[in-house]
Amino acid sequence: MIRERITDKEATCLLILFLLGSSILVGIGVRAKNDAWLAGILGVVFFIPFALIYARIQSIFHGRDIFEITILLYGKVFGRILIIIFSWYSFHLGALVLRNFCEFVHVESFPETPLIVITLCFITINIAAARSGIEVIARIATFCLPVVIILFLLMEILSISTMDFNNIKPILGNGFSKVADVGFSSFSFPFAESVILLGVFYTLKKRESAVKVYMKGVLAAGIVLITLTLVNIFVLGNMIEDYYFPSYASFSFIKVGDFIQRMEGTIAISYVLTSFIKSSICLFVACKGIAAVFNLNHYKFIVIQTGLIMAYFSLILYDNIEEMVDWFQNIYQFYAIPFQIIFPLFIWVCAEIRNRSEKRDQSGKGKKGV
Amino acid sequence: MLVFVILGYALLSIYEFFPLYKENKQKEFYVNLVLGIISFTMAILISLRINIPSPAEAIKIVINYILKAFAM
Repeated sequence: MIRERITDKEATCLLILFLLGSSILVGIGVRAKNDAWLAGILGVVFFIPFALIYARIQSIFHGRDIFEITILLYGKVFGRILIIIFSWYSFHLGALVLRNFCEFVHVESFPETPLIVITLCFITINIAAARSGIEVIARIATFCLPVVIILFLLMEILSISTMDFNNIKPILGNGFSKVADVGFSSFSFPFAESVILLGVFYTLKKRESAVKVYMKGVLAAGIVLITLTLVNIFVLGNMIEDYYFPSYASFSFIKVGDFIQRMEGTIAISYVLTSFIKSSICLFVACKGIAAVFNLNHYKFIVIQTGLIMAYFSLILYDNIEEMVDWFQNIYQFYAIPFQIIFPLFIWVCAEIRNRSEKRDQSGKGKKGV
Repeated sequence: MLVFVILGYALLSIYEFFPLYKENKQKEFYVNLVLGIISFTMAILISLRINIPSPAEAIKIVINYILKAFAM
């Protein structure tokens, strides 16, 4: 089997779009109202040590995916249990992203179309992308990133006339503890979700690439998300929490003269591209996980069925949009702790111990040889 | 709706399961078959509008219980 390879640039684009997927749609730190941007900054700051841990895991076991690493460290039985846990998270996250995006399309664009039709259309593209492999997804990401960034910049410039810069005040009006609490939630959504990419970055060409990719990707995505949050605050003020899709709402106020208005449809292109990349990666990693559990030769054989189950699963997750938003804002950050914090720490500690003992053994053999 | 589901899965089985079976990839075939049965069952239940319990509610209950336990 030919091993896929992606360049650092492609991996960085992949990471940025992965982090932007869903988070640009529902916004980060909205519970902190006009301090949401501070919560976003805290989220990035909290995440940087974990980004280094994720990158370290990948650079210790260069060329191996998280599933191979887990089996190598914990053996076939316990390793497989950990793989099931990780694959479940990837599968669940993919379903959440799918539901978020499809709910957005259903609410804002196609209220008469059944949700299942929108979901099945979207999952078809995800299945095609995941079956094509990570190289294809990475190339799509490289092509899509400039489109997403240019659209954001354009929208943000056009929104200047609708901004009220006083909306940012009072800063820390609800106290630092509230911001820190919401900062943790913006750590888990979206930044720490990049743990999923441990199932993708085995394709990096160089050992030292992982650190660069994680650092560049997180900082770039952080800047985009914090800028977007600031724009939302300037336009919507304290009402940011009242909207299901704050950025879509804030861009709907754009009115330049009588001819540039109703621009929110344009920004939906960015939502499509980022959600597509994120859910495709989640599907890809979930399939790789299932293939690793059952020791299959290739993950491609199970992509269609896993994708379909993911689509149905996304439909049964919530009864309505209120339930979805409530779950995302109040439950998700705690639910994600085992997958985003405990699991990588568990892997990292064992990887370091194994790495050091291997080095000691090698140096011992060298001395004996002398 | 039910007819579409059955028809869709019949076509899917021709496209997916038969080649695997012919190529004698047994492990892949059986894993795919199990996943196919799960997805087919879910599709049938959704098409018949039978309520499938969501894990989100169970997760919410467990997390609230843990949070309460830690708060105490």
